[in-house]
Amino acid sequence: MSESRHDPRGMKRREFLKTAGAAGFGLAAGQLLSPYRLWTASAAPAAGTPRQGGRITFGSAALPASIEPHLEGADIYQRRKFLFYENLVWVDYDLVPRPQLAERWEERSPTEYIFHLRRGVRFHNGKEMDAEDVKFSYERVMDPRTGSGGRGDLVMIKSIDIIDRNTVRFTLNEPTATFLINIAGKYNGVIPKDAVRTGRELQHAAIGTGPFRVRQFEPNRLIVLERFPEYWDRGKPYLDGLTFQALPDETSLVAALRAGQLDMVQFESGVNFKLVRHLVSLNHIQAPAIRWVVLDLAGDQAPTSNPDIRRAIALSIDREAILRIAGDGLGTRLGLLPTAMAFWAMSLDRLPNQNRDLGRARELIQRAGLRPPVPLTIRNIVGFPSLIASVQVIADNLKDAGFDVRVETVDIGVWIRDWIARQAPPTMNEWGGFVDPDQAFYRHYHTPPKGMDFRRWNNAEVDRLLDEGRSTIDRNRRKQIYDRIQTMMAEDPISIPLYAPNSLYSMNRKIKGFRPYPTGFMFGLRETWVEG
Amino acid sequence: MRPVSRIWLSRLRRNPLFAAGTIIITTFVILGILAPYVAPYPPIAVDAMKMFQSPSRDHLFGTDRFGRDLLSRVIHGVRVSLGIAGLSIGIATAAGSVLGLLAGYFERGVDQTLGRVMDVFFAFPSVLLALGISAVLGAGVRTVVIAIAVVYTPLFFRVMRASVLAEKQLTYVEAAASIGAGSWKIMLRHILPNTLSPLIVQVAVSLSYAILIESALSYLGVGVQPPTPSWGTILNEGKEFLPISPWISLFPGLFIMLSVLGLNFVSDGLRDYLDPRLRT
Amino acid sequence: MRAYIFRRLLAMAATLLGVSVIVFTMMRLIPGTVVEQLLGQSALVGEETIRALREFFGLDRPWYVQYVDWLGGLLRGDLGMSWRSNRPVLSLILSRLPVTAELALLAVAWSLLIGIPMGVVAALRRGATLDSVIRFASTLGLSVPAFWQGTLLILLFSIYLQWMPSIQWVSIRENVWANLSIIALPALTLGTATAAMISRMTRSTMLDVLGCDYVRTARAKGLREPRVVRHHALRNALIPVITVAGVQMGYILGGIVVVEDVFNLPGIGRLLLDAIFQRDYPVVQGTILVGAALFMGLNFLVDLLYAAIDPRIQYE
Repeated sequence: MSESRHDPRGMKRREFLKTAGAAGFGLAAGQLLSPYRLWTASAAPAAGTPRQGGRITFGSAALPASIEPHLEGADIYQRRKFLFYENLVWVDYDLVPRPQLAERWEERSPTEYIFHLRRGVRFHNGKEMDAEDVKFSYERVMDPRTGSGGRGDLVMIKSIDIIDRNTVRFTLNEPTATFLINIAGKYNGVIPKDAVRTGRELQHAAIGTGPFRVRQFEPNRLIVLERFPEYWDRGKPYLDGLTFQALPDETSLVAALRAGQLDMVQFESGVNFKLVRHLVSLNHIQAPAIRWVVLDLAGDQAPTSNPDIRRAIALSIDREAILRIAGDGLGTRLGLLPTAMAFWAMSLDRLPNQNRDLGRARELIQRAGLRPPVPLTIRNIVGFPSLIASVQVIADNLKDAGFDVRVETVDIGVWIRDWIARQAPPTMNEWGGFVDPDQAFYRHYHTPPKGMDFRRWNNAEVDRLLDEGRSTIDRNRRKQIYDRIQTMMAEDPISIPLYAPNSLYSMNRKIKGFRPYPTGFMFGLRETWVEG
Repeated sequence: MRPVSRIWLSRLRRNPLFAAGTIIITTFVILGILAPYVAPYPPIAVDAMKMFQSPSRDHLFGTDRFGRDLLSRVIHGVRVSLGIAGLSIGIATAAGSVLGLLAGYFERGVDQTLGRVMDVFFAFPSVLLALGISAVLGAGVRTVVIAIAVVYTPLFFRVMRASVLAEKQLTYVEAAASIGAGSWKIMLRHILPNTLSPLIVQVAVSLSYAILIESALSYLGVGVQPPTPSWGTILNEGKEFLPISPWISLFPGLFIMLSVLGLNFVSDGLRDYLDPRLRT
Repeated sequence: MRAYIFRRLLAMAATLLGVSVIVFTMMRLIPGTVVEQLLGQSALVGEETIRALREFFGLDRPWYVQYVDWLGGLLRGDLGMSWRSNRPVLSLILSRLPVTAELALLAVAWSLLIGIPMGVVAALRRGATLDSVIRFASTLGLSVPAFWQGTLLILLFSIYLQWMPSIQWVSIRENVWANLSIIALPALTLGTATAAMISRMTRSTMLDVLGCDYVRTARAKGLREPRVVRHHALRNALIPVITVAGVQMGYILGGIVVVEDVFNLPGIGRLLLDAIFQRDYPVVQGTILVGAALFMGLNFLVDLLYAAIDPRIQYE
């Protein structure tokens, strides 16, 4: 899909800037396409026959400091990780689990899964993958001594047993709807059993089974991948090589893309995407993502301990303006779950407290017995541009309703300390990467010890529903349960989602077949090819 | 020893650059004090209908991504940026002078100990030290003030110590001591007043560096945090929009440059007068 | 002289020890460690996992044990390993050094090249319009924040003129022209303030020297002005300028962080900023320590140089 109308090289520089400004910002709000249309549009470049060969240089603002398969939690890493690490299953573009290193699996009972491993899968070091490696890899993540952030996703696993060289049995503590999805999670990845000695070897070298292997890695700057010729999915990947290059300043990404030094770019900031999307020499993709900016409240701290005040805050916020300003208009509003989780997300019009109503907000403040200006501290984390932008709009919005907002900016270390200790004040956050509502809600809202209820909502009814959603296997029945939960969350907004930014990519027109994945993971590069 | 105000007045007439510097700084200080009355709009009022407007009659400096009036933000930025510079250099002057006075007067152990400690701080390139401190304390106004104060305390320590040592050689101090004046009395009555002129020059120079360090820290994202409008913070926010609205990056930088220029003119003028060796 | 050098080296070692204590303490005072960074914002793990990771990075040991451990490594020339990438800090620094060193050298070179002639001309034309212009320009040069100057240059060259040097670092040995096109603007930016400082200093020392007896004598002997300036005045005027250049190294080392950020250069400043944001203590400690050591070492060299060219100075 090319969104371009003018070729700026035919124009004078100043005209170009003017046009870009007007088209980019004036029309932004009206230009929002429905996410479903974008989806189909984004698959368009796939037309044609894939060709083997070619290399791509992919630019983005940041790259990870380490490529550890089970420890590294940075989103910028996890997006790229599955190009060289794989799991028993992967979650496909429609968020359904599919075979990957397991050729197939049997569900002997709701708590017993047998995985039949694909034969002849080789690691990048030449070793053949077997049941030992699988058992070792998942147990490594489950072991608290490893310190993996993904441990919580695997707590339902009671034991992993090797049946034979190519068969593994997972026994669960209780029936869990998200088991398959969780073992495909972002902290997992099958590694050779003998690859880990001190536990630090894999921070800068990767030994996976994925379609590419890591040839060079410079922390924060560069990842050079090359095609893994012995990849089990014969014929793939199409690219011979793939270089990820970090350029912290996104305006230089634009320049480098235009100068042909980069073939493909992912933008964090919509402004720069808007600047290039008028270029017909490039293809542009924007896709809804499972990622959203949110204002989380504190259920046990005044004034947000009062549900009326929580509702008043939700009603004061102009989410349309936040999407336009902080999200550059390149995203979608959301109720409780982003539209990219299409099956699960309830649309705005079915949920209460979604639109600005200052009159009602003032009434609620009055009913709570508070007299404006009501002091309210909102915490913000250093270094997250979308949060910094959103909180500034929110502060101004809330002032109109009678709140006196103080923005307290803290370091991420302070944030995580208070967040885990369940002491955080109202906080700006960005959540994402989930492929199932259980992942999005359970740990967040279920009271301890089973969940963390980070916002101290203490909602017994939601606890019950979350347990039910977890142990129910039927997808449609689960949908009903999560609809009920979403409605309750909207009625008493302990967490106020603001907008879901789109994933934004631009690439030269020779690049074909790239398909964006809902969580932003770059699975699509497995099928990407370069036109001759 | 003539009062500072008299020196200032006499220099104003003779040195046009000094006069210009004084005018710039005075204007900025007044702007800072009167910011809420002078600025045409509130500095944090968001208006989604006015995003990224180029400079116009309504918005002389244009608007930013929030539709906020940049002129108003830059005017409020005077308060933040000059306020931080003034406060931090004030603290550094006080702390450095007291320590320098003690070291210079008592020499020996006190001097040795303080001197070693100050040497250690001196060993850091200033921006690196400030960066380290702000990493420790977390970004924010308070942090920037502390960081700059820590960076400049050793400097004032050295200046003060050197002039105390020089003063002590002079006869009137010996005379005061010989008539039995206590050491504190000698320090405060006799030595301190005579060390003021090098100190004043140093204060003026350091203020200009303080403005630069604050803006650099904020530009790098470890200094003052939005929505508080310091000049460096506004520049940091404008970085992303350079191709579409360069004015966001233009005006705050201009104000930083003007204020530093003003301070440099003032300190040059003072130095010419107070330190005749370099008189031009 | 030898005794002096020995004493200076000893004092430097003591100061460096102090620097190491301060850097180490600062890093330990930061709220949050590499552990939180590693887990990221999306990781909602329990205390148990955090404890395991703290152990993994040795953060569970008392701070003084960690310090002694680190110091022991330093004495063996081992700056430790990066926590995030598990690479030796020294090799990370060395791999970035060519970029930073070239940037610094070019900046100093051009600031001397511009600063000295400007200062000399201003001194010779004392009181004339040219003098005023140069003095004004050099004060202006001192007043421009480096990152703003860099921003303006980017605006002019890369946005308006669409001049785009390679985004990948090209060393001077690979391709001189490509290398220079990457580093010219950053070096220009980094050197501006120093050039201004040197020009001011040169002017004032030139004025001092021109008023001295030996210059007057030279003139009285009937030597022509250029010869007087070159052979008698300039040589003596430049000695104090060297000191300024030394002190300016501190400014340049600090400025490098800012300039590398503005121009996206993969140097040591970038390494430091990344490490600060990622709480990679060993890298931050190592980089700042090396920065401080370089700074002190350069100042020491300048002092020696000063003594070598000015026979009046004797270090005891």
